[in-house]
Amino acid sequence: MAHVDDATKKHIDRWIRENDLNEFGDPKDTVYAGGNPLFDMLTGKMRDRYEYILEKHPELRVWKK
Amino acid sequence: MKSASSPTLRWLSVVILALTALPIVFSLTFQKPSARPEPTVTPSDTDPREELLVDLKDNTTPQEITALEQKYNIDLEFNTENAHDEKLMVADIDPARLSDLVTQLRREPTVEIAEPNVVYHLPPDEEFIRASRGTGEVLPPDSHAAWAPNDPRYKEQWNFRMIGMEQAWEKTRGKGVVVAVIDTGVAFENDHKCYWAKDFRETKFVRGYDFVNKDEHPHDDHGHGTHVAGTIAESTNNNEGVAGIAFEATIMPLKVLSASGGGSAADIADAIRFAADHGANVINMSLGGPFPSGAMESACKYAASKGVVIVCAAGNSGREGVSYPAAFKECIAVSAVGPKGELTRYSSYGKEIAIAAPGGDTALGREWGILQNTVYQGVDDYYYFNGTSMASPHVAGVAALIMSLGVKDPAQVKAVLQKSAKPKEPKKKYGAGLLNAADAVKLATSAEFQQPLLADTDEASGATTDGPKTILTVQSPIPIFNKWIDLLVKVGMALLISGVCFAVGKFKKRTKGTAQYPLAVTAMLLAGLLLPDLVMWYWGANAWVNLLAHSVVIPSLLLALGLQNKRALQLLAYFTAAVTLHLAWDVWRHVAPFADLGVRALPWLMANIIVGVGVVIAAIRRCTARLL
Repeated sequence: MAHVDDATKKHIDRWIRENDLNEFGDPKDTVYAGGNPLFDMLTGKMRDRYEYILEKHPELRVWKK
Repeated sequence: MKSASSPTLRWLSVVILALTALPIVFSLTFQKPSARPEPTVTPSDTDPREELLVDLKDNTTPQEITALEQKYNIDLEFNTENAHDEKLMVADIDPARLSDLVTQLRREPTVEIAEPNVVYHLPPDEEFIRASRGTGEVLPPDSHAAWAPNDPRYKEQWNFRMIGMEQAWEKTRGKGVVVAVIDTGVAFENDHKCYWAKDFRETKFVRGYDFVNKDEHPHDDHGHGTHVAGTIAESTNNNEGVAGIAFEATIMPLKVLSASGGGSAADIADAIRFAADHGANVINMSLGGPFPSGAMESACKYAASKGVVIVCAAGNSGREGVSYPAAFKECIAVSAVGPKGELTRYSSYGKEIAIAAPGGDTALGREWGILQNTVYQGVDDYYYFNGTSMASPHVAGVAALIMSLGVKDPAQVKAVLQKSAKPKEPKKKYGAGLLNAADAVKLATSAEFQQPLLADTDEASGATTDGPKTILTVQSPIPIFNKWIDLLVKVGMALLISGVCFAVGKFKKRTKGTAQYPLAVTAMLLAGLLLPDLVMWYWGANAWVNLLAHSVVIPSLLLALGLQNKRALQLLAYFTAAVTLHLAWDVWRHVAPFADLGVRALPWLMANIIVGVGVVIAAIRRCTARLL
């Protein structure tokens, strides 16, 4: 996954606010295994939140001209 | 006694008497011997040899035994001197041959039973040292009491030794308790959709449900739920893989999370209610979300009201802020510690944390994860996972052990977990401290938690049922005090007082008074002494009505409202006196009738005792005044 630039991050945050979603870009009543979809239970590492959202919603990436 | 001859009052008295006898009836009806499993074997033998156990038909001849030995190239010996008649024989064999030999011998006409002989052994010292090195938290196994399963990779379960599982298994393995695993499902059966994980073949399951696909096959297409279920009740002492904490408990698989690991609060709420309605005693939810859901909270309240213990993972945010449902009041929120007993960097924490348990920390090395069997990415194997998802089932498993020992009220189970935990600060990270299974089962069998007023067990199914609530005791000064003594004392008090009344009546008769057995008085006394228990049994230890029942509020109100009837005043006085006696009895035993309040209920009891004495005096005085 490519680096998430600031413009895309702002766009994602605005999209979350406008659509009344949770911080992971899912409906607010979504529940996750372990409570956090970013956490890898095998490695113990945490994924980047924006990368996680972009993986599910690639259309949110802001493309520079 | 004039009123005693009134048919209405007589019948009323009988009804009240019958009602007050209900606790006894229920107790006698439902109270069965505890499903507590007996510890099986605790050999000091540390030799991990493989042994074959063969039970031959009693009429098998020596020639037939020799023929078997030659056919299978084994050396059969009688297990003990006493085993000659039963033809119970053992043979040391090459471990690689064990499985095949068992299969082949079972086909022999002279063989009744052929199976691997369970050889118990303590973990080698070096394994223990490895697990405890630097942790300072691992409980040393007691060589005189510990029981270790024969699962070959059990030695890698440092987390079980850390919480003292070997001592806990001496007392119970969770038989009779149903644990609902609300998760991604469990790999518990073979069919076109799913694989039956290899170390779950001896685990007991009850019917569950798949709330994602809406069918009755809650298979695990993720891997998370099976791993979680494994910590609770993976097949244990079966010469395969690893162990589970409450391996004689029964798993109810409920799938609410999809293959991607996500799910909706609505499905989870449904699953919680399903579990509560279908006999689950414990619910484990290694899941959560950042926002509270009313439906989920309501379902948790419902399950708790039915006596279900709810254990939840705090979340893996690594920040302050416990996820939901763990943050709900009805849930036991579990944070995760690593092998050193310190909060892991991934664990969420906050004021709602009730207790901390091993969640593993693979950042320190793969082997410091929590090892269980699961089917992950299509491969049925043993995986080291870490997370509060792994910590929560440790607590759920120990809760199952506690419940199997007869402690059934969720508040009491939580109290046992917290009181037995190894204290650690700060509370927002560790709650009451680190989970300690060894001390938890010890505490659960202590007098403090073994005095349920009325506890029931469905012996037929072996499962505990929703039943009467028990009360939280606070350091009772009386070391051994069970419900029977409690009941006996109360009935004894009622009969003693009514007996005195009867004797006084007899005396009056001789002096031209009247004397009938004071049935109404006895009814009032029994009502006052036993009704508070009946109310607590019916509504639960945490119901507000329970405080009302443990009070003299109603008699006081009746008196205050100007009750004048002489007979009614007499009965009111007897009833109030009995309630007051009940409360005094509770105070003397340091028993709080309201589990959540605990010792804080004592002032309420004391105040009511004082008011009760006042009400009795006032009623007698008003009665006397009317006589004059």
